[in-house]
Amino acid sequence: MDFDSDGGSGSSLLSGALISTRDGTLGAADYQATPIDQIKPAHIKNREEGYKARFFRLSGEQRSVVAVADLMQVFSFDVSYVNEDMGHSLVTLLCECTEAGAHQPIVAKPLMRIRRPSNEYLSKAAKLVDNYVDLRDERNVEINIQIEDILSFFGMVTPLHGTSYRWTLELLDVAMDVASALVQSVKLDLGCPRPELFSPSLQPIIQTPSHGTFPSGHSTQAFTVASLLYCLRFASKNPDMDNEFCVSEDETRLMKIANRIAVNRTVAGVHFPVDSAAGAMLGITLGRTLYRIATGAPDMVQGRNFDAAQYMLAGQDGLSDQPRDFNLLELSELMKAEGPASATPEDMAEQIAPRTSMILKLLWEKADEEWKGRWG
Amino acid sequence: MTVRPYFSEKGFRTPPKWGDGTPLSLDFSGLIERAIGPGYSEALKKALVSAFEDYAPLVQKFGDFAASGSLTPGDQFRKDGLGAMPLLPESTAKAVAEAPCVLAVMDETLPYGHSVLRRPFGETRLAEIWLQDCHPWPDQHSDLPFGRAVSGAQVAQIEASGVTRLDPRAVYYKTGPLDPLYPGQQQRYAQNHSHGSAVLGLAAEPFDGTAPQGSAPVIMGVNVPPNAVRDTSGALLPFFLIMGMLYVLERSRKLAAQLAPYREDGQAPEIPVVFSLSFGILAGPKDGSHPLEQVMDALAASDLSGLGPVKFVLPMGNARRAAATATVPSGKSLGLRLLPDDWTPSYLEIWAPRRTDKPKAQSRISVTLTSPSGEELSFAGGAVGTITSQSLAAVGAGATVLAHWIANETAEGWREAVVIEFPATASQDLSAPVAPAGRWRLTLTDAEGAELQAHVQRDDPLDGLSSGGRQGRFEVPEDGVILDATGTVSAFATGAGVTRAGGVYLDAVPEEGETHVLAPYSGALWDGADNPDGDAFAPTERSATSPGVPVHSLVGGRSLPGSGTSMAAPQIARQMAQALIDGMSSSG
Repeated sequence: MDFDSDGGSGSSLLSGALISTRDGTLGAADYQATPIDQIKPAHIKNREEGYKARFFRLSGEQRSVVAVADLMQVFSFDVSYVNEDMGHSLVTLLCECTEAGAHQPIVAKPLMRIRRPSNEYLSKAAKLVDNYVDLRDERNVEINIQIEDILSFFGMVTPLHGTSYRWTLELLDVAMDVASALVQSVKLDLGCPRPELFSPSLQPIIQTPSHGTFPSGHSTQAFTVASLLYCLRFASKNPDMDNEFCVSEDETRLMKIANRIAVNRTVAGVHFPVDSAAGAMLGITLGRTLYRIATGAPDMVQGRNFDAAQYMLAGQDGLSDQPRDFNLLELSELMKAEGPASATPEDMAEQIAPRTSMILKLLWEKADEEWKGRWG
Repeated sequence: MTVRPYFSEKGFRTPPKWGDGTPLSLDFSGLIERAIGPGYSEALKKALVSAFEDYAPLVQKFGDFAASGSLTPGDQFRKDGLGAMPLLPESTAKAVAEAPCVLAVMDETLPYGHSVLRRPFGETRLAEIWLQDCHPWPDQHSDLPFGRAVSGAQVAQIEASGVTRLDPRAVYYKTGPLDPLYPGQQQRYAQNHSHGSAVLGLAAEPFDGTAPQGSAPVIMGVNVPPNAVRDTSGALLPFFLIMGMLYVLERSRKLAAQLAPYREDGQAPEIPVVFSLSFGILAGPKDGSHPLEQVMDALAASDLSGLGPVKFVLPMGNARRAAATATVPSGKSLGLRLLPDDWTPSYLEIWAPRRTDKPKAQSRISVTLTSPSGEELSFAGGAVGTITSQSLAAVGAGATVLAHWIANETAEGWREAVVIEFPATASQDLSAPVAPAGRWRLTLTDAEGAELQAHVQRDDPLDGLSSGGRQGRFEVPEDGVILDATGTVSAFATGAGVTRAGGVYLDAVPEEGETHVLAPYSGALWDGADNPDGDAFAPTERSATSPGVPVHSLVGGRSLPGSGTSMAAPQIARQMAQALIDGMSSSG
């Protein structure tokens, strides 16, 4: 922690001890100046060099704050019209992009467009939430642990030990903070009521959060982590990554964990399946974008679209006016961007090149090293 | 004539919902004919007609089922069948063609897309499963009056498409039961395990990991509606089980037609069928005269043309120590403990011994009940086929106890009985009177001084299918009342044509002269029976300190312990089916 002392926790007791130590080792008039040339580095040529020199001298907490602040400058929102459901209906997440080969950000381009479901839709979807209550007993422990900790579950399918993968974990923490900040903004704009408001029968088994239901924050974070871990470990093997989803077993394994975390929130009674679907699309897109922001990888990012109003059963057993459930099969269909719920709109047809962040790059390089030096 | 209890409006132990008057037409006559084929015996016909006469009215009033959308629309229902259809995937059909045997598993939430069924043939050896309460396939003809069937060929096609790699539950998502609008049972298939996953896994392979080599039985499945399982009185389940049996026999004939071209002789084989039914109830006549038992006995004894032998394996039940069965000399009394917070009615059945004369106008049985607060209710002399009632006036005022006066005709004579129905001891409806929980005192008398059998009906449903019931029990018997292992067998398993499976320890040292150590809950037949502890035994516990045997979860391997004689029946059935296959192979 930033305010801890060199040898232990900071406290008024320690401060008192340090006061008496100074009194006992230094005469009252005994002031000494340190020569300027001992304060290094003496000469910083440019901003990048400065970051390199100073970023890793910060405490982890401060590094994270700086990294999140830096990354949030890449993103902005475009919010469209208001409808009768008391919230804005359409949010577009924009991302600062460069033209190929250029170094300066030139324009903010659409990265993820999300249209909210109507309250009528959510009212029908509440029945889906009710369908999940039978699973509460067996998912109870997972649900409660995942309120605070989702990384342990990814640690089941990839090595993530705190000592060996310190920088990876720090990178993931930054990514989750960025995901949280972005999804909270979307939630605030779309203003979708939680399941408990649509039926008193749902009786969630954890505290329903104060913020809106759509998209799911847990789903966004979990899929961001899954995507980023996949990029970190396997992207170099798969340059065509952005046009695929769950083709490789390595990616599928991670996505299954993210899916489980997302669905558990529905079992708990605090999220609709459609929340998970939107969160998953946002999380995957964000994870892939952060990879480009960190590495400047030459392949481009595909912007995504999720239209909750279109996330309906179509032709399945002749039922067409019911909300869809969420699972990895549904998500893989959404990621094909072919159906009405996720078809790519015209203004997002071209793939984009997010600008890089010097700070994320520094963190990424450290994390990347950890996957090269595997022991055992 | 057989007269069965006709349960009162709140008599079902399902959540007390009843039909909204929706007319329910269950036209199953075509299925019967196609299943049993020509030349069936009079005994079989009589057993089926009698069972359907008893159960069809109950099912027609089973509101949840009527309203569930499971019924095949009239214009899509094909009474005359659907003709030839591929059941097994082709590679499996070729592999089993020379020596086929059907192992039919009837249970709930059977994992028909489980990888265990892909052994040993590569593609699934599921022929077909009937999902009885799934809504019918849309816009398709069906030869089943309700639900939908999913064939092994369909499952294999889905598995070959690769979607199960993304989600091991993809088969259920694509074929109905994980459909968001599949009523009632939807998330049963999202759970980690089910009764059916344990049972099907043990029916498919031994739990010690020795996968079948070369040959193995073809699997057929019947998923009974969860609400029929929830109904702990056992009144609904037999109908769905009997329908399932007919379905399996009918499909076995279709399977024979599918296999014929792959056989050396080109002829349709006479396929033997082994049924594994891991269901049981605590109360009933327990003399083989239950309508379900009559049907199983008649099918097992019939030589159905075009089919091989038909076998049934049922568990002994887990009631040995349940204190739910008593032998009571006339005039003696014993306590009945009704548990608090029991949301379903509790049932008590009292059976007189078999007599050769027809029941008289008034029953010879009389019952006196003393409530926990000392109030006395007397039931005597009811006429067979009627219901009489008595209401409490003090504690539990307004709560009504019913007596259903019934009689069973068997080949050897008549048995009179009375079914006492206690109201629930707790209710969501705050204005509904409830029965006081605690110890009730029963005094049972036979007008001719005969010894009576008393049974508390099962009231504890399967894991995850709770209706809020709690199991009552007998206690503090008066001298002369016998409350031991005697007669604790499941009331579905006392017929002559069934193999009863008892549960034993896998790892225990038997007494000298014994071959096994019985699990302490495994039920027993009446004194004097040939094999009082069961006809065959299989491990249902590893040891006294390590409970259960390893069973499959819905999608995964054997990490769960499964206990109870439900685990014994599929193991015995599998070995029986394998022996039938081996017999066919060795005899050519």
